[in-house]
Amino acid sequence: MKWLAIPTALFLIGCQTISNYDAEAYKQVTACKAEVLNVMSKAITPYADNSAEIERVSLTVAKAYEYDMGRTLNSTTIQMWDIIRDPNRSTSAGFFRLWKAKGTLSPGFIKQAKLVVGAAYDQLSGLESGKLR
Amino acid sequence: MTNCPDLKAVNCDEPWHKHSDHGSVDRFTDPDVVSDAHMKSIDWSAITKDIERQVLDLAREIVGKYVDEASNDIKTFLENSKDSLERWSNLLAKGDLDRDEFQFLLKGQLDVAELHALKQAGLAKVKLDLFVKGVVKILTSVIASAAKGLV
Repeated sequence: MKWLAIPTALFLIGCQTISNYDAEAYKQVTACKAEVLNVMSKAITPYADNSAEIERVSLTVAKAYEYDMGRTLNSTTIQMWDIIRDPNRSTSAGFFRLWKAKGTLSPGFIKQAKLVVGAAYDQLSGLESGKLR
Repeated sequence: MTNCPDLKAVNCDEPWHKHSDHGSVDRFTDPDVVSDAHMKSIDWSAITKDIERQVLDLAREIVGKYVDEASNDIKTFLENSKDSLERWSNLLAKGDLDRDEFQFLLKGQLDVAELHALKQAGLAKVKLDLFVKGVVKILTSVIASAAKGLV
């Protein structure tokens, strides 16, 4: 019965290794993706003209992150948020940093960057939707 | 990636319910067998074999399905990445992207690769949890059936 050692040990120490699916968390991450991609489309205009909206979207992302921080057994999701929220990486926070530095960005670049940032958020929502219900 | 089944629902198609197909549980619930004086003690050898068979079936189903899904997901991701890199190189060559923009996209693809790996690690944890819950259900079901046979 050696093969039972791992599942039995996990059961005894509390059964689960990762949080269950949370509809609110899923809703928040998909809303973040939609809002971030929407504001990214405006990067053909000066950053300064959009700073209020960028701040509002960043706050939406911060709220989703805080919500996930409050869930137990959710460290993998938090690690993913840390990448997305890091301005020195090249996803949404990094895009806003580049926009601020350059003032405006080209339509061709924005189109490609939206694919990358969208894919980043898809990984996060993909993990959430794959969790046990 | 398909969603995991609701573990709370009673569904005889779930792998950990398949013990009834083997007939081994019937040994403990069949009235003729129960009335037999020899069945007044638990047959641990039969229980162990029954549990082992069910757990192995469950592992094959959960792990096998996960490996197939993960392999397809990784293959698709790598194909998409290759297409993106080719497209960005062409845009850089044509002057539609500057060096900063090209670098941002390359680094972004690496970030997505890292996120993808984290997602796969998380989904592997989900499958482990599903397996543990299945094993617990099998143990509970087989031992409860055996105990019923003693009453």
